[in-house]
Amino acid sequence: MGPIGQQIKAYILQEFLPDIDGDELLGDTPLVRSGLLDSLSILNLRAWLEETFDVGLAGHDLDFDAFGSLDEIAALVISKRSG
Amino acid sequence: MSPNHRSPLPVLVSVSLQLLLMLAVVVHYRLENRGFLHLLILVSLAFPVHALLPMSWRPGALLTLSLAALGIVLTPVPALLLFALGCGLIAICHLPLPWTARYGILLLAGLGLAWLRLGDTTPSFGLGPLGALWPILGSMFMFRLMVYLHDLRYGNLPSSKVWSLSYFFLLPNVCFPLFPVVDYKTLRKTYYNDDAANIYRRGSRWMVRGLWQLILYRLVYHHLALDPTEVDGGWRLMQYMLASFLLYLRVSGHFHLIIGMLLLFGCNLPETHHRYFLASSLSDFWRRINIYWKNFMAKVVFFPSHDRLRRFGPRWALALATAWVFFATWLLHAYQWFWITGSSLLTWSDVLFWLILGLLVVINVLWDSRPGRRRTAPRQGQPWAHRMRVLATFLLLTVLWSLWTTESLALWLHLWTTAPALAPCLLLLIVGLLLAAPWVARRGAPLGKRSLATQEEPPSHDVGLLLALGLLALLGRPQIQGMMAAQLPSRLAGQVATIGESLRSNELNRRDAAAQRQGYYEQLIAAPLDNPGLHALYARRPADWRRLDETAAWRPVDGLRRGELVPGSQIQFKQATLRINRWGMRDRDYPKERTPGTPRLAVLGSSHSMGSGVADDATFENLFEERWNKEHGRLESLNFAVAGHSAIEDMVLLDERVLDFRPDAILEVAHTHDVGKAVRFLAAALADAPNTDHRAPDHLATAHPALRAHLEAVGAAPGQARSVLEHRLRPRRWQILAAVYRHMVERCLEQGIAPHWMLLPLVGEDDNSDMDRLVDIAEEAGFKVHDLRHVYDGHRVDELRLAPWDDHPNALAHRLIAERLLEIWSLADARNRLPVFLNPRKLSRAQKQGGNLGGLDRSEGARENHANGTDDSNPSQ
Repeated sequence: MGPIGQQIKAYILQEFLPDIDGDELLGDTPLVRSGLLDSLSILNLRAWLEETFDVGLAGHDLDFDAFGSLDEIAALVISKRSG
Repeated sequence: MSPNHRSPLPVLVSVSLQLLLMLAVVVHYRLENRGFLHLLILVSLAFPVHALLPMSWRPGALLTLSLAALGIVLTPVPALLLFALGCGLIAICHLPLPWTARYGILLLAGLGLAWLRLGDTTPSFGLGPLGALWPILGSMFMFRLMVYLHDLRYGNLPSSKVWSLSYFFLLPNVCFPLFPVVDYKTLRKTYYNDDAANIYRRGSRWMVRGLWQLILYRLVYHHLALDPTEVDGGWRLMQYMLASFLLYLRVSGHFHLIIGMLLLFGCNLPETHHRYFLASSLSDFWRRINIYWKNFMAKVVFFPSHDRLRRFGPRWALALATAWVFFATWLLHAYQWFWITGSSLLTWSDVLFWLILGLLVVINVLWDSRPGRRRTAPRQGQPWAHRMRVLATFLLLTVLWSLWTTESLALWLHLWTTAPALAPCLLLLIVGLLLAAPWVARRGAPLGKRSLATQEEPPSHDVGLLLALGLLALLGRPQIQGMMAAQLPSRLAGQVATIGESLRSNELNRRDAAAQRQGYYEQLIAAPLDNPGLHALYARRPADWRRLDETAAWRPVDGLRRGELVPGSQIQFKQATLRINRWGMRDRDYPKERTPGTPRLAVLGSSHSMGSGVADDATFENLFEERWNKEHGRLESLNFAVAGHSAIEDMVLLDERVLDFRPDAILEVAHTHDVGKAVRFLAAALADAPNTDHRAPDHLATAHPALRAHLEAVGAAPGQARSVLEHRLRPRRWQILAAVYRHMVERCLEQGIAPHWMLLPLVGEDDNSDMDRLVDIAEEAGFKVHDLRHVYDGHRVDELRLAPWDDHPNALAHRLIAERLLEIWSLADARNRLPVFLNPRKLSRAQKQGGNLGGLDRSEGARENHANGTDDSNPSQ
């Protein structure tokens, strides 16, 4: 997991999963499918991602697949920064 | 590490065995329809072959299999038509035009199809085989086109013709018009994204879970669900509401089967439902029930609309976007209803259900997102508080669900009047549980953190699953159930036998058989049964197998009869010739005037007496007449029966038509459905009275004061909602029937006509209590009663019924009835010069002497269960 992924992980652990051991949250751990993130969490996460990484996320970027795991969120941020 | 696409042989063998056992369960419990059975056989055969193919071949193999399923279930020509239409719609999505132009063309295509769909509901615009395909075509494209376009535009997915076709013609869709909204991107991304062995095991497990849910649904459907007219107090009302919610098990059972099947072919899709009866709040419920719908709404409605609403501030945007989701859900449920059933859906119950649910979820969401509150993942802490919230949510949903599934808002509100204290008690309980939950939470102890480890399917589960399936298949066998019952005391044995039979029964339960009324999902799932073409394809039922009132041999009439047979008409009805004579009887032609010296009998009744589905010369009425003429001399038997007639319509027919033919005797033929049918007819006649302007209330009032007394006693008046009228009249159904019978007997005796009455059992009917009571009522009214409840003894149901999908008596059953009737009346005739049953003077004298008429003892059968002295047991009250 790259630095962006690590930053996102730290935020998710702090905001949404305070009881979870960080070692358990891997890059491909399903976040939406396992019920750890829901649509409200995604809205909060979106605001934080836009602010932290200075990217603009449109409504159609916010489907559950794009936020399915840490790796996928990091990939979304990277694609937005580069494109 | 990349997932292993090859599956170890033991897993393939184990899953294949599980599929075989599932087949046994489906056969023994008669789950779903023949189309589903064919699909499951296909899946069981194809699964091991597909799993052994090289990875690059598998997507193509899945598509081939999906198209083969279309061909097998729908037959090749309709399947090709469906495929061609579908390809046309998919091609529009790929046109080299701007997105707005593609949306516009698709919208026009959709409107064109909707116009055709509307036309197809009108017989004059019938489009042949297309009529059968609407529910399937609608199911495949109505939502998936939206998702597909969205993902095509924004999904960054490589184009693939195979996946495009596979997505729309998904394997199990052909048997399940009500289908989860599978996401295109998810389908592509999850394809073999885990070890094949894990995916297959999970798929099989979900399918088994689906089968369990369908069996549980059967229990609820046959033993818990009530007709609203049966609700007469607090407990019954709670049972009614609870059952209406639990009936959703069928939808979740179907969805588990559907997604489980797709997992067997590598599509590692997420689960569709997650313990939705255990939701701890309404927003939690929304997240757990039909998860695919929630994701679909989030993708195409919630996130895009929230994006546009952000300028109003985060909380307003959240509230408005959530409200918009529920508005869209309501609209799209009506849209789904249209494509699957072909009719529109706009009811107050539907509007109110979505409005209330939406409002409560918006409040819930705003509460969850209030400033300072952290959005943490669900934890398993605070067990008592959690349980109280779960209970409160369940109760609230039970009430809301009953509102949604009850036929009308007026009826739902009326049901509460049977238990006026229940509404405030329930409300207090729900609010109390919700308020107490946080207080209890402070005393609760967390159970520990949630594990994030990816859940693998342990091989040991395979053995358990195989054993459970084997046991389930065994328990479904009637022989095993018989052996179990033999070991139990007789009372318990009877209950076990009844439960066993109901688990295997895919027939409508008493409320639906009587009224064909169900909730939103029940009706959507049953829609193929209402679509003659699709039912024909699923069950191999002939497409022209219709009700009499859908044919040219029936026409509506004014007055207190719904309709009559069209004089001089001739049609093929349920594959038998149905000829109507010039007087509107299903009979040979007779002069209206009597032939001197020839006694005349008039037969009244419904489809059983009219002879639905048997040839003109094979009805029991005709067979009896022919045999009597051969063996006893001349007799004219006139068949006035009309399919669908209630006893009230028979009474009116007697008054208005039958007496003109001056019969010597009438034979009113009844069965147990007649009890409820009279009340339903009366309620419908009163409800329609202002619209049809017929004489229903006046007629009843003047000709039948006994009926008027019942109508006045319950406050029934013309123009009230039919369902409410029916609910009010139902407790008096026996008295109303008794009044009708008394009137018929009085009219007969006034005219010197011998009134006879015959009880016919329904094919397969074995509940004696209603039959006993019916016989009592007919006898007390003054009819000469002939109880033929044992006429079918010694024959299996499938030997007697018209077809697997139609329980009317067939030619053999009619022959048995005719022979029995002949036997009874021949016995009497042997002792008298004139046929005694045609001689009212003798009948009257004999009745005065105690009801025994020359060997014609009224009952052939034992009557174990006499009606007790409840309010409505005595028809004279």
